[in-house]
Amino acid sequence: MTVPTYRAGTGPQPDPWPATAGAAVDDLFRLHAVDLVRFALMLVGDQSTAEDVVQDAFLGLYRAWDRIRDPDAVLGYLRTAVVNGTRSVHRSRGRARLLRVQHDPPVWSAEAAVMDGEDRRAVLAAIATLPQRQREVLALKYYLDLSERDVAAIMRVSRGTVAAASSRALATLARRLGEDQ
Amino acid sequence: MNSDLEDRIRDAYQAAGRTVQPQTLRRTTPEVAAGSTRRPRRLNALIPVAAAVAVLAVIGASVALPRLLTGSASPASAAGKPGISAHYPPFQVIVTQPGTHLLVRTPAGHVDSTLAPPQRTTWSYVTATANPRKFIVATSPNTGALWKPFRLYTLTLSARGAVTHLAPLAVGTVPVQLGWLAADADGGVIAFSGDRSSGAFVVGAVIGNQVKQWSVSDSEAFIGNVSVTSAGNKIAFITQYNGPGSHFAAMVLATGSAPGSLLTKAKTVGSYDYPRKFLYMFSMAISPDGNWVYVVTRPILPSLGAKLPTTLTAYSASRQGAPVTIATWTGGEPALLPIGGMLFAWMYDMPSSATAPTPASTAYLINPATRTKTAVRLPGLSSGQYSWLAW
Repeated sequence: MTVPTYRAGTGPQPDPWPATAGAAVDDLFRLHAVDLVRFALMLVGDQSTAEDVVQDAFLGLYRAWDRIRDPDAVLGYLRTAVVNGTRSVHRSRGRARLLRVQHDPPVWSAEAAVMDGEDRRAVLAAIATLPQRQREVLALKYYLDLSERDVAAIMRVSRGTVAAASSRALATLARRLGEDQ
Repeated sequence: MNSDLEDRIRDAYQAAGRTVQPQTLRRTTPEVAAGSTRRPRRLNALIPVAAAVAVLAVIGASVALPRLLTGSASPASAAGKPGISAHYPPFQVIVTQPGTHLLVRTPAGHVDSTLAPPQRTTWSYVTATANPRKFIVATSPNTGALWKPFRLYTLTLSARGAVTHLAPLAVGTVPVQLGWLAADADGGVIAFSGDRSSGAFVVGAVIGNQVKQWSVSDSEAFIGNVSVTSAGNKIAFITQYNGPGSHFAAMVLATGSAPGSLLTKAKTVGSYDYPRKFLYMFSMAISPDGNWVYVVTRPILPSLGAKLPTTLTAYSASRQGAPVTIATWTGGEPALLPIGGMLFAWMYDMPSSATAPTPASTAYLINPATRTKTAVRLPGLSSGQYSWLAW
């Protein structure tokens, strides 16, 4: 993947690496925020939380900016940060449940009423019951269409782990969706 | 069968993805957010990227000044306004981006010496001690890794500003990615904040060849800059809690307390819930005697470089009495450092590009006792950018 040449300010920038971290991160935000929010949505269920996760990922990118040497690595870094951020969300939700904090319903719930298609909602609801790591693999593999190698790189696990998680997830889904239909 | 299932999964994901439209995002670009009056529901979403980036830049570009005086900076006392020149140490030490040079220069901007980092490292931070010729500098490995530990050195200058000594501290490599650094008067206690490879945030202290750490998980709180008293007995820091009940807080930790949970060991001296105060707490310093914690706040707005009202507030470390507003000004996002009984608020201006000269910047020398401030201009750099600066 290639990160496009960024422009900071109004004039053309011969340097593909932007003038300041702030400008660069803002440009990257414009380029990738929507896609990353959509990706985060697959893991956390609601747009509001997904946006929070993505905002945090960009903040993390800014903090790490002077240590990033490879422009092509930026998107991978952001995706990894989003995955890690969604894990934090799930840990927080574990605590929040004890405090009876209400979160937005997931987009695939009938309550949210934002997605059409009964089958689609059933598939996503079934995915939501899978372990976190299996859901991450599925979202990276089937929503972002990444190879197992890229999925492994983003999740910082081996390709074997990705293959195993994917296989187990599909087997579980086949069983559950088969039973549901 | 799996192929069919995989198609269903893809289709379901695509349908879910389509529910997120750019126009439905709370903020898609700084411009969109600038025109919005809608306040997001949670803290993280509250901070637009550009604004938070600016804040982080300021926290990151923290200035450290030696404690030339030892008196309390109590806003209740009635100290007179000292001359600014009395607070100017003879040398500044600057880490330039991307950490390939350390510059020693006079306050007027004359560079006396430059120093390359030890092999396979880059300079990452510098902080001052009360001795105007003794500094503590940090390096990190010169690798492409996203997480890097740090190592500390003592830097000693001659009377003419030449580097006479660079000695690694006995403590060796500290397995924390350095966020911020501060030293006590003699450099015997060096406070730091940062994150472990696990992601947990820590506040720590290097005392001789020992490292003490107090940690908090990254899902619980974000830790900002640290400051330490002259005697090294107290470390102050800013934290931003995550999750329900999010708030900003300035906290003080006794260096002598046993390592463990940071938020359990430290005590809060000032805090507010973000929905009630739409402010970002982004810079802090503790007075040399530890009696006061000074906090700089600024409204949360999404535009880099906007002229924003900034407020400096004093909190009693013993939590006695109401907070005192020391100074307000417009524009700039200062790093805040104590210089004896004075405070130095430095507004770092980013250069227009990575290769452009760094512009001169404005600072305020603030007397908390009289609540007066005096503007000071700091010279820029002819090439390279500030990464860190210490006096």
